[in-house]
Amino acid sequence: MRGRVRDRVGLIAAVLFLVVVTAMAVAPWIFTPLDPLTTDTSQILQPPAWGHPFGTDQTGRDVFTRVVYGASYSLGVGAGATAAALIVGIVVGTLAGLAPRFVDGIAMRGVEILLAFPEFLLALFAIAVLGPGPINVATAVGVAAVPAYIRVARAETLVVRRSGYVEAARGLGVHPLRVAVSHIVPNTLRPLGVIATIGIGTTIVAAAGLSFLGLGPQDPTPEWGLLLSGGRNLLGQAWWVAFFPGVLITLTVVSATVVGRRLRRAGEGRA
Amino acid sequence: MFSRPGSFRIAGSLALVVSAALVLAGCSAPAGTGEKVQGGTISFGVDVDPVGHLDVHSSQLDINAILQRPVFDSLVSQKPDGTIVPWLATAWQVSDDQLQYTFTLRDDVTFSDGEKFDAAAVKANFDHIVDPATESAQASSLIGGEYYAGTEVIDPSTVRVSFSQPYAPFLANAASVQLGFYSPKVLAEHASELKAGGPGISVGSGPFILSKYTPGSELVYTKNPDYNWAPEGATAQGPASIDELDVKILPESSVRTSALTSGQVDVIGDTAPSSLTQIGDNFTVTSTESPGVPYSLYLNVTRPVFSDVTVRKAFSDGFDLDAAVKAVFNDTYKRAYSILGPTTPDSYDAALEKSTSFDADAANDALDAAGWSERDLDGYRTKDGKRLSARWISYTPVNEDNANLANLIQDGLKKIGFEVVHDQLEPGAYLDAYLAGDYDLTDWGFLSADADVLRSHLGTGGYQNASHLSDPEIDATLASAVATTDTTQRAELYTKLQQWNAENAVIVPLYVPEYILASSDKVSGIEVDIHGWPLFSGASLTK
Amino acid sequence: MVLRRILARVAGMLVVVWGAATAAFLVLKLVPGDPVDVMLGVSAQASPELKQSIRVDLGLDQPLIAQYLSYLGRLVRGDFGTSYQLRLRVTEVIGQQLGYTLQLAAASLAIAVVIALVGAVLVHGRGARGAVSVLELLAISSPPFWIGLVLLSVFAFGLGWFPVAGADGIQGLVLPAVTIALPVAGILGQVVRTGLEDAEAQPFATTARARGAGPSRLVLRHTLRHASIPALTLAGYIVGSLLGGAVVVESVFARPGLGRVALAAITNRDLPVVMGVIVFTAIVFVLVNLLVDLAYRAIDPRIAPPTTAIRGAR
Repeated sequence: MRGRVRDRVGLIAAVLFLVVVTAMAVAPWIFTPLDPLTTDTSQILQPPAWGHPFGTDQTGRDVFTRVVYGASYSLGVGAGATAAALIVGIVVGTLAGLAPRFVDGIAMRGVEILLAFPEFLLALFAIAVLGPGPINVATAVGVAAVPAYIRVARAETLVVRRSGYVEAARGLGVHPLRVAVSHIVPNTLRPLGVIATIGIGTTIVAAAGLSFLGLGPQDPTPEWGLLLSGGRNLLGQAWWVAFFPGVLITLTVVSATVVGRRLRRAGEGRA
Repeated sequence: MFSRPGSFRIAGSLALVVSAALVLAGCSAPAGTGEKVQGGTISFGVDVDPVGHLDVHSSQLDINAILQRPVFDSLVSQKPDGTIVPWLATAWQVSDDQLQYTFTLRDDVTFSDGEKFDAAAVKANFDHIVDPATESAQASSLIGGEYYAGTEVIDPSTVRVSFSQPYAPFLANAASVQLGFYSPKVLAEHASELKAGGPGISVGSGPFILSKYTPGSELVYTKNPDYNWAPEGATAQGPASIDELDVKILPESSVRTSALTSGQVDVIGDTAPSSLTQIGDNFTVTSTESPGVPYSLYLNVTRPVFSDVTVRKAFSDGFDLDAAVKAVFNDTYKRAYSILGPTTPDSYDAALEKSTSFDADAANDALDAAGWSERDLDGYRTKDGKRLSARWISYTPVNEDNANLANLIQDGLKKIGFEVVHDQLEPGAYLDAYLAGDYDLTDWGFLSADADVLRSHLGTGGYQNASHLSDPEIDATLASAVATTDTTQRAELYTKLQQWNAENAVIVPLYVPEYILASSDKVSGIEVDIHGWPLFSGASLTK
Repeated sequence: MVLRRILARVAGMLVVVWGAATAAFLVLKLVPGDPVDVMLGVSAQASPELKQSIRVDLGLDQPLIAQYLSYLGRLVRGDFGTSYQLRLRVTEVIGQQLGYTLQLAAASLAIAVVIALVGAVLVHGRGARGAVSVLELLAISSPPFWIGLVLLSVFAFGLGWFPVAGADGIQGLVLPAVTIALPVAGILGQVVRTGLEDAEAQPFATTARARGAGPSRLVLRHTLRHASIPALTLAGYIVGSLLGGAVVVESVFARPGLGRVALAAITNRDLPVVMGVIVFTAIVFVLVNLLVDLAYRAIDPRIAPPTTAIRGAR
């Protein structure tokens, strides 16, 4: 009983946090009157205080403002790359599920190989091919996320394909592609939505990690991984420059995971 | 055991230092008596290693010059005040027409692989520098570039270097590690591996022998026990006092500083100005202003935006450089006024020090007058519907201080409606853009102990001429300056060039870098050269 | 029969490595930029003749298919080519740095397994597991570069217990290894804990208890073995985390290693090293999967192993 209450509190906190971060991404100016790029040589490395709740950085920029504006890039990459990966995953997975066995077999061998690598490593290899840059980071983390979606989409397709109503529809002479679009794809969406929620978190971490390594956007872009990396040399003097962006990344990912798990449990409960 | 920082320091030293007995002695007397001891290891933390660019004859990396100096000797040596003293050459004569330099060589010098140093070795090395296959830009320019006519062996201990026209910087350049000597055997047998370098390949006659190289991690040097040919006047004349020099690659500046203060390393180079406050009183800090071209912006005069001198002037006076340099470097580095650093021998024009100043109003007026008078929605100036915008390309990784300075410059210029787009490109992409001339400005500082460095930066077709300047009058001035040995006349010519640039704003000097070396009280006797780079041959550990 | 299975297995492994090698080759050939410019560096505005001669030396003047075949041929002989940047053989580069990364991976793995097992065994089925699952969640969700920086600023910069950088001795290994180990321990701990809880609800556990097995004997002799099977499926994921973590951690802690080499090669467009690292990683994964299969058979010969290790589910 106590556990359930705690779970609920956690879930509400997570949802609230995600709402706030999304608001930061969409309308950063609500949260801060300052500009993330404006420097101020009289306010260098000021510790957190009323006017600068997260302190200031080496060129006097407000860290809080930079973190707030950073949400749009990180969330944008997280949501955008996940959505793109989801679409590719559904298309390829559904087609594989409907394809002749040997085509499906070959495709799945490839996917299984890719699945053995964690997303971060795949994204890193993708960057090796694409080259560094903000767009390429988004592409790389998206590409890295695709295999998982393909697998689930294919598995769901196989289940749905053998179900009574699909068999019936095909018996009535409906074109297989149409069956796929109207019956199979909607059914794969629910389980995929659950992994995608958690996937947004993974994608944000992977993108921030690549930026941290200097492969993504560059200063003065306020991107969370880059902000963290920019504070690396200041750990001894000005911990706040690196600390707050890290907190934001971690909390965002924790929240996405909590919500995703909750959705998964709900899905299992209904099944 | 790991309860206090102090106790780790002892444990860390034990792990690091090979000669355990000496270290135990050192640790048992924490106050330090300052008495020198023979042997032991000094560890030196630096920011990068010259991976793939270890060949002294082709590498242009300062770090390679620093890390190869222990291994390679030169004909002469340059003292920190710029004077030239004998080293592997005991004497030299310059012909009256200044086209021939005849060197008398020491006859007791051997390379660490046992080969003998003689006139043939000098010739083999100088021939290697100018061989196109060596792909050398800096060393081949230091040796005289197109003016270099050749080296001939007169007898085993006499060698003559000839030029097609007088080349004044030669003696100073001959002191550089870029004109240092490989064992001729290495040149003959391992020519293709020199860039990779390493034990058995980076073989010279210096006081240390490179004995281990792990790229990205460490370089270990052991002392050359036979060494007995130090430059004239050097404090240490015989073999080095320490047994081993252990160079650690520590890219993050904060990590280098902490490694020093925690006792993990004894000496650090390229110390970040911002971290000086963390280094206590029991450390020795030497800071040396770098001679040569200060850290500057090179405006590409062939591009529409910077072809107009008014725009270039507005650019250079349009942001508050004093405040920016002060903010980033905390009063450690000084802002630059000229395209030569104040310590460049016989050339600096101190009169420029008040000439340029931040004046936003004047810059705004100048831009208005130049036709950039409209403003777009973002507040940037436009002319004929085109935004006043410049593309700045930088070679990554961009050092953090320079990145901060760039932010301040960008933000300052934004206030006068001048957009600067800063593209930090990874080496491959940078090269593509640089070689194609697809940029409006780029940045670097170029260390050099001779003002002739301007020839490569401003001369038509110069190998560092990022501004793409081509001006016959400048070329002529550069050519007469390099041909003159008269120091007053040289200084006049270089003053003229510095003033010309102040008026034309082709190069925008930003700050004078300093090489900051910090060492603990465990070591003594580290000397620095004209660049501020450390020399370890006279260094020793202290009790 | 057995022989045929082994042969099929080996063939499958070779196909995976070949696929990775081919993919690496093809995609990297599409990369824009002239490798010769990368090799020469910024200042050397080398003559076109020199560039051409380097191109010929590297075989870059050959048609693509010829380059591909000679690349495969060299791979078979264990020749990965020469690094543009380091001017060393790629095998030498990897060999030089592999030791540091293996050390780091082994230490991380050991720490992760110890934390996960001890944590799971101590708290499974108890009230404390709520707090532990929060910790697991935090460990899994925190980006490794963030964990690394926090550990670095607290234990190296702040308390001075550990060195701030480098690979000197055991002390230098602790913080980097813990950084990689924490997320791995989070996932592993979760799986083992749930596995233990499942196992104890099963009939064989009840039987064992009825035969008088105490709680510790029950865990050690019976249920832990059961719980380690799902944990094994994570092996591929864990190895990947160790390698991916190494890239970040070696950069944060200025440690030498394969991760740093890979990162430098990626930023510098050092294609032979990039290809070498990709192929090398593929080989590691193939071997790990083989080991996992063997381990399955050792733990429980009755079950058929899944075809590959799955990615850890959050």
